Amino acid sequence: MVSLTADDRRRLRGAEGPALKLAMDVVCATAEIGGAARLIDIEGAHLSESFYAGQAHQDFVDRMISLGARVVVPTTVNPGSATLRGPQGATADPEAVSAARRLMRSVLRLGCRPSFTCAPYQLPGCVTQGGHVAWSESSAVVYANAVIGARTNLHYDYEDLCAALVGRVGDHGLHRDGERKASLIVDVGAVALEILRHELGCHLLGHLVGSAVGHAIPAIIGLPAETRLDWLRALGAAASSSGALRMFHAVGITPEAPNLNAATESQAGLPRLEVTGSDLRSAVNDLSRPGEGPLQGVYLGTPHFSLVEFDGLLHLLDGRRVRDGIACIVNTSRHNRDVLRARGLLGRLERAGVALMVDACTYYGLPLAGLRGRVMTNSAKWAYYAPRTHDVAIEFGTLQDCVESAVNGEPCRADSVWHDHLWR
Amino acid sequence: MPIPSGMTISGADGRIVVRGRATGDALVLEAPLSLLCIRPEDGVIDDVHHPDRGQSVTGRVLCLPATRGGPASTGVLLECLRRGTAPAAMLLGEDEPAVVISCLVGLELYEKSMPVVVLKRESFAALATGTRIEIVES
Repeated sequence: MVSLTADDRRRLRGAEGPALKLAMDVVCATAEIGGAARLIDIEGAHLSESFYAGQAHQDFVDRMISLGARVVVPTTVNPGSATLRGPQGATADPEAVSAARRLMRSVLRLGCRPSFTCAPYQLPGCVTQGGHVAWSESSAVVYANAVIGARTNLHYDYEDLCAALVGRVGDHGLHRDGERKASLIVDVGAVALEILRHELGCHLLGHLVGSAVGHAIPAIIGLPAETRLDWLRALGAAASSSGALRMFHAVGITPEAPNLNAATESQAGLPRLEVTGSDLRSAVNDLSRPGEGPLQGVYLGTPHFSLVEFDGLLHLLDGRRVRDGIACIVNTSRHNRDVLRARGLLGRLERAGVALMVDACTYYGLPLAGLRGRVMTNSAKWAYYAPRTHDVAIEFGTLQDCVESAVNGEPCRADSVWHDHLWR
Repeated sequence: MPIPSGMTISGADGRIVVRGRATGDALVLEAPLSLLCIRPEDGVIDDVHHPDRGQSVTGRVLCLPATRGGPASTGVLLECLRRGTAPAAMLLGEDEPAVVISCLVGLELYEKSMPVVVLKRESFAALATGTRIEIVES
């Protein structure tokens, strides 16, 4: 039984109107199933309601608006299923585009910030270490838990908005100390440091870990101290695509894992997974879907490209231009785009032939509907999903490979990380 | 092939998580199902890797040993309720919040829901596809 406060019970009775009654019903039902003893306050929410997945989504948001519902905590939203402006993919149905845009505008009337990003943690002041939030979007949930040390379960569509309307969630799962400990050790000590000191290592490790660990929380040992935040993010995004990862510890790096003892309840008897270079090589093969024909485009920014990643991209481009006829599309948030503009970097990207896509997603939805042919990415998550949503062959490479391929107009692996002797 | 006999499911067989009455033919799935692989247009299981692909859940008593699928699965079930392609009821081997959330919202938006029972292990094991099942409220 979930124990409720007087405020909770008043809402559940309907004393604060039908919207909050429904919201409380949904929050309580979810808490009950999770085995929560009580509800707790959240300091923020991140919703998927912005992504059109059928008329039911619009009906739900419309009903909440008509009942006067407003979110009571700072709330961000995921990308929509179309961009708000500009042309969509060749096969995008105009009615679907209108429906997608209508829903995106509607969610803002509930009081949500117009963030339209899958990486809300890139926005200033969005989430803090130790803070309880209610987030949807699997890659963001892993990042919040593992890298920031915030606390959230993966929330369902509708239920995420309900939590934001009452500012409460069940105190279960990853909200609780004891549920955040590792139950499995992943040892990457046998992998060449050259691979682990490269973003590529984390993309591949994530893909591997996701498919291997199920619902367990892994403690990863052996990642070097120079592992960057964006690499940890890639790890979580890949693992929540190939599997159901919600939380991990990188021992010596992430906030709740200063050492292995801190990351585990007890190390005794924990299963151990040893990862080798050749395991990572098989992840490369898994993520590649070789095809014939000319390179159509290079797709970066899944999850949304960070400002640090943009610096890396500009450095690698080094004043050169993407070959004519090659699409080089970077998916990011409107917030990051505005920062780039303020820093004077947007013009440099445009002159280099790089196009930014904001407010939407490059593998789901309508912006690239009809995309086909041979494409390249450095994102394990994109490489996992794009062949499921588009008729594409995937060349998987590093950011450097992607840049060289875009500039030269054909796929290549230019990065020294691919030296054979590193992958045994 | 023996003719399947009727079966009644009540609170004695498990835990009622969404109340209601329904009758329908059982569709017992062998493998866990991602709810995202139910096509809302016609209720058909649209997953090339699933042993029960091509079967329609509409109007059946859908019996699931386990579910997979992320936050968007509530959207699929609610869309099925809206279009009238949802199962008549669901009998589950384990708890699934997405099913309960969809029913609560479906009742509010469309006055449509379905009974959902999480069955005891032995009750789930007794289910067979084709059996006529009646779910009673008590």
